Amino acid sequence: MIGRIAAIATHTFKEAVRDRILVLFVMFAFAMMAASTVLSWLTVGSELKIVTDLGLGALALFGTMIAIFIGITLVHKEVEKKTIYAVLAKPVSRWQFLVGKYCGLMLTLAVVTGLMAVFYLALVWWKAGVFPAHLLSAVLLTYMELSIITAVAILFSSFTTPMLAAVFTVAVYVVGHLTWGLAGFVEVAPGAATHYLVTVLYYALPDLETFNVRSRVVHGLPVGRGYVLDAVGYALAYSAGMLAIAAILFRRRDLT
Amino acid sequence: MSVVCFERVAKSLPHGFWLRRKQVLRDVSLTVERGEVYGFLGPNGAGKTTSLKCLLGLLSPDAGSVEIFGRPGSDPKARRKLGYLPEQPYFYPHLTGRELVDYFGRLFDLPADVRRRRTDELIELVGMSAKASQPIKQYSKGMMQRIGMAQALINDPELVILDEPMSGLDPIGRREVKDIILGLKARGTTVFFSSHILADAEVLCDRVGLLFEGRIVRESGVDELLEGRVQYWDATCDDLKPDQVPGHDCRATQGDRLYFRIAAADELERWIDTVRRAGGRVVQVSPHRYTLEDFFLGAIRGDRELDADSHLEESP
Repeated sequence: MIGRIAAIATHTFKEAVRDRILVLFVMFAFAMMAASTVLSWLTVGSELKIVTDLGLGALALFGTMIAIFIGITLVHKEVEKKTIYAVLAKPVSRWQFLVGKYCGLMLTLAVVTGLMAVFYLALVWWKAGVFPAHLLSAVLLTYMELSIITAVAILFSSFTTPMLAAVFTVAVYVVGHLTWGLAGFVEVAPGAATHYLVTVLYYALPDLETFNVRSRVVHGLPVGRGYVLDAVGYALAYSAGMLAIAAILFRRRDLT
Repeated sequence: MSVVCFERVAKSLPHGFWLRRKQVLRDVSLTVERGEVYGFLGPNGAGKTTSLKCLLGLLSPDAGSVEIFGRPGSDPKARRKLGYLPEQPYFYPHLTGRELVDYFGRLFDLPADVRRRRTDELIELVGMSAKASQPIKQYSKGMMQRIGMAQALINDPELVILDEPMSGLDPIGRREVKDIILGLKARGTTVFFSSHILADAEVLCDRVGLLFEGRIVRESGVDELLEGRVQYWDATCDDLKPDQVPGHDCRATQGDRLYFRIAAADELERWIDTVRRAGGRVVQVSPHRYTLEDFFLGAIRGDRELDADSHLEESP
């Protein structure tokens, strides 16, 4: 079973890295990080903050774009191009196929995030003069956020078209960064039904702000190990939940 | 135990803009026994590919059941000893032929050394050794079909399901695919293949099932199907003049050689007697059998007539 999932994952990875679009995304991310140093000349005294902030922002932005862009087409492309027939005619369960695809994209994102992180950390190191070890946890948390976005993209991609999946995933991404607002709304929601609905939404939507520690690390505030571990646990559990729903939806789907 | 078993399978699929469901399979029942080559025949649009997809668990039937080796087709365990070549195979364009076969080998959990050996053997078997390191996006349709055949055999399957294996191939390619199928048959592998080309089935199959508009209209052995179904005989004799063989249809003469068309078996007996008595020499007697094509057209026509009859019976 593990062998099959690993085979699908490495194949998905291979497919992604042989696609020129990925290289393009990474180049853009590098360019944006490099541009942040130019931008930092315009400010006085907070050059390092600009480079740290914009660089981490670029890393998160391009990581998210890659996760959504590849994630939404991952299953659909196989069905559309009919390549899935030969795969599912092998002793592969549909959930194994989905998990393999997910792991493949996470592997791709690990490599891409890794590359971007090396470039970013080197840049900050060069600006600051000391190795910015405190940024490592911020990079890790960004990667964990990508794991949730990828799982959401795969969930939508398992039952709808890439266009709709993109819209839904972006919606979840945006709302996911605003769920703290929902928490306040739960308190003041009028009527039992609204209260119930808002509570369900609050727990169903991912709380992506958990992974955003930019304002803290930019100002040199520490991110506790306990916080990071909690966030990693949350990301793993949420992604597993999304994949489980995707597998249930995909299980009985007719592949015409 | 049958290797493949369809039991009254029905399936409708969404169709067109409003996704109205169209009945593709109405009543498909058939069995494929171990070691036989079964031809699943029917015109385009009869539901052959849909049936195969139900068999592989890619579609779930609305009614009835499908089994492979006694397990439902949707059970991954049922597919361990199975090889499948999709119709007009679509494979990952970014992989090379060798990578593709190896990838599918990994999906069977084959160890690396077995995969390497089998991949080399199969690429050789399908005549793709020279092109195996090229990316699939550079392949022609025929090359795709060949590499598809190789991947279908990677797990040394006991059952091979081929969806239109001969389509898109030139005569040499068709010959080679036929040889591969005959090779599989000789090794006792069960082959279940769909085709709309009847001549191929006539050469290869032990049994055939004829699918028409989502129903199996006939299922029988090829020999049984064609046995005794001689349309006419072409008979040739030497050293005689046409008037020495009266009462028979002489179609042509060439010197002393006469060509006859004989319609029935008893007429053939009389013709031979007459030729011998007149001092002639029988040179050749060759029966013209119904081909599967004639039979197929007949079966479809019969089915239509049956339908028409039942409509008549239904109407007051």
